[in-house]
Amino acid sequence: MTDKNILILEDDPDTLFNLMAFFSDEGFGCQGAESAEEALAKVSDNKYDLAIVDINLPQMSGEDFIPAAALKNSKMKFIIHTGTNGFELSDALKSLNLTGDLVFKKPITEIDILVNKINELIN
Amino acid sequence: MFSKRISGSIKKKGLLALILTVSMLVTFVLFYFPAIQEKIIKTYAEEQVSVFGESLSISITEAITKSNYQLLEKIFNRLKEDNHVKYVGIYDEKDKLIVQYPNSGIKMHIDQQYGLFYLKNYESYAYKIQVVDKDIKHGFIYILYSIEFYKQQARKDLYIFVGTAGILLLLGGLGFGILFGKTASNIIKLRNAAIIAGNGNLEVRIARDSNDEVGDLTDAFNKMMDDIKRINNDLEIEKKSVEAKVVAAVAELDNSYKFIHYVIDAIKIPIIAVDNNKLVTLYNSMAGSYVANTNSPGNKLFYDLFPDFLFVRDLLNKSMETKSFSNDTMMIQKEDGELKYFNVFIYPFESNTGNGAILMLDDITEKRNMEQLMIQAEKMTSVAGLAAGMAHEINNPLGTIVQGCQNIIRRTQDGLDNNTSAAEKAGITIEQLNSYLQEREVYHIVNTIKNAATKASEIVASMLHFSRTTGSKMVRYDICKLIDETIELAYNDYNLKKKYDFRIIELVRIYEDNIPELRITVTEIQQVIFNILQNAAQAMKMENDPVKKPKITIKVYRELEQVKIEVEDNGPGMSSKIMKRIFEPFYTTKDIGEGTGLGLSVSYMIVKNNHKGNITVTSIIKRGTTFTITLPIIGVKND
Repeated sequence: MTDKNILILEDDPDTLFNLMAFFSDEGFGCQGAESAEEALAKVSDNKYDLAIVDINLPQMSGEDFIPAAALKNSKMKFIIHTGTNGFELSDALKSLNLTGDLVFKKPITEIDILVNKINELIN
Repeated sequence: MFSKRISGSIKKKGLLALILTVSMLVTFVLFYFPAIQEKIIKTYAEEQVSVFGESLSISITEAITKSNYQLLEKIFNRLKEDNHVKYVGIYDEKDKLIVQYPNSGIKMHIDQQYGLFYLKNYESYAYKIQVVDKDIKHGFIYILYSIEFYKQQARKDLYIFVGTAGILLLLGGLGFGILFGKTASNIIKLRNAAIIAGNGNLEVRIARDSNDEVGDLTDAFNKMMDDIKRINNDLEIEKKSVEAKVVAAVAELDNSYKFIHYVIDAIKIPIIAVDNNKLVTLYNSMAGSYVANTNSPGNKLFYDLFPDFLFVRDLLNKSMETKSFSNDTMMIQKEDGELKYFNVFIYPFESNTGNGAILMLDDITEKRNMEQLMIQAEKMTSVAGLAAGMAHEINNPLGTIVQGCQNIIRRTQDGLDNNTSAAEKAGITIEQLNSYLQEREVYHIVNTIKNAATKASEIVASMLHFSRTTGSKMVRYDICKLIDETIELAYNDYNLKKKYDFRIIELVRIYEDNIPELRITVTEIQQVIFNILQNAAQAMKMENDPVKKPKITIKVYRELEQVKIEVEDNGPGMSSKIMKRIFEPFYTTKDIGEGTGLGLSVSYMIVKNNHKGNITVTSIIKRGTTFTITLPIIGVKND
């Protein structure tokens, strides 16, 4: 078991459910949010080590959420989890030290890579 | 040798004729002249002897009968003065010598008759005369009269004659040398000149140095040579002009012929001309690649030379019979099952040299395949346009499916505390649950769901490539750097790493120096190279040869205005049948779930359509496969 907390921002409830189930099983403290606004509120309340962020969201996008969240918690790490093929990092995201290896495209068929990456980031 | 025999022979002949004539003359004189001479001498001598004898006998008879011994002595003294008289004897009736001259004491025995005789031994005439006076026989006189003197004289004459003849001969020879010799020399000169002229030297002339017919002949010869030379010059000029015309005409014909060949060779469609008997009269270089290796090199029968084109037989026959143009798109299936499409044009023609037909057989297979691919691409673009917008929506449920599957597997297996406690609550053990799920192949079913979702996501990704091509940005990029980056990507790719042992493959990079930067869409070319590397890795893994060390060699080199990228593996290779289809959309040899059948056709689209390059494949079974990507340098300079 680990004492690390992760926030999963995912507007699709089924995907959110499965991701939360998986990361709970992995031993992380997991919280989910179905919108960026909700997630941003949670960042204010709790201290998360890492957020798994979907990009295409109903209102505020994941791309906007990350800089906003980073403002609130500068130590927080981000993993981008998007359904968009060929997603490219914006300059704003790059300036937050986000790199291509932190972008995971849905569906994640080999989730071990993601787990390893998360462990690498927050341990 | 011939000319040597001829030369001088005329001189020799002349001289020989002269010698022969003189010899015959001399022979005639030597043999015949002495005989005549002798006859003349004898006749003359006989006359002399007779006259001499008669007068002598008269004088002697007178001296004897008158016993005038003074007279007799006088007669005998006179005899001494005559050289011809060798002997004179006076005998009485009883053959008793009375007196003789010369008074040598030799008594001649005379038994001959009276009269004149020639005594050969003495070269003399003997004359026995009876001395009669008034019918009283007093005895006889015997005279030997020599003709030696005449003979000597005659011999002297002969010698003079022979000497004169010799001098004449010498003079004749000299004269011949001067007269005929010169003529002969002139004739020889003429003859030699004629031979030289006959050998082609028309400059030969002879100076006239005699006033005779040979001189005239020389003039005639010179004139003839002048004429010949003039005519020859005229002919030469005419010939040169004709030759120049012929050369020009031939050159023009040759140029026209070459031009026709350049033109038909420049047309990258097989063109074949046949005559009425279906014999091939002409074909261009494109058609040349279809020529079969026939055993009989002289065989020019269309169907023997081009067995691949047997399918046009009916169309050709019909077109030639009706003398009408035909055009048809024909499909043939080759022995290896490959389908080929030809756009066939047949133009029958009539000409002075016979009728025939021009065939154009345009292999439109690739064009057709490309068209098919384009149609496919268009379809996919429209789908992809939709998909691009929906990709996120599609990927989300796919993610749920994949994650769901993963969760099902994790939550039914040992290793998680929550699993154990949940099982306890239900009154079963994880082992029992596992056993059940294994027995009912539930894990397998879950895996098939996961694989299907994975494949669906790959299809979405591939389709999105079709939609993205139009909007993609072309930039100048170092192709070698891009290949290195792609290899790095491949090393980190989970599938390649885990499934195909990419890291154990030996990678050899041979990059030529000074490869110019190319104008490319980086992500696309990267995808192409990645696809090829992935294919190679998959193929080598499938072969699973424990002895063979898998190896991929990547070569980058410049060829004129192109850069070539060769990716060569030492995998299992593929049959030509497969090779011909690998760029077809949705064609795959891999197991279901392993590939979409789009990887290489997307690569083909990217290289051919988006980059105006080319991608080809060569393969040898059990030896390996080589993909060659050709990208143009053109356009980079103006960038």
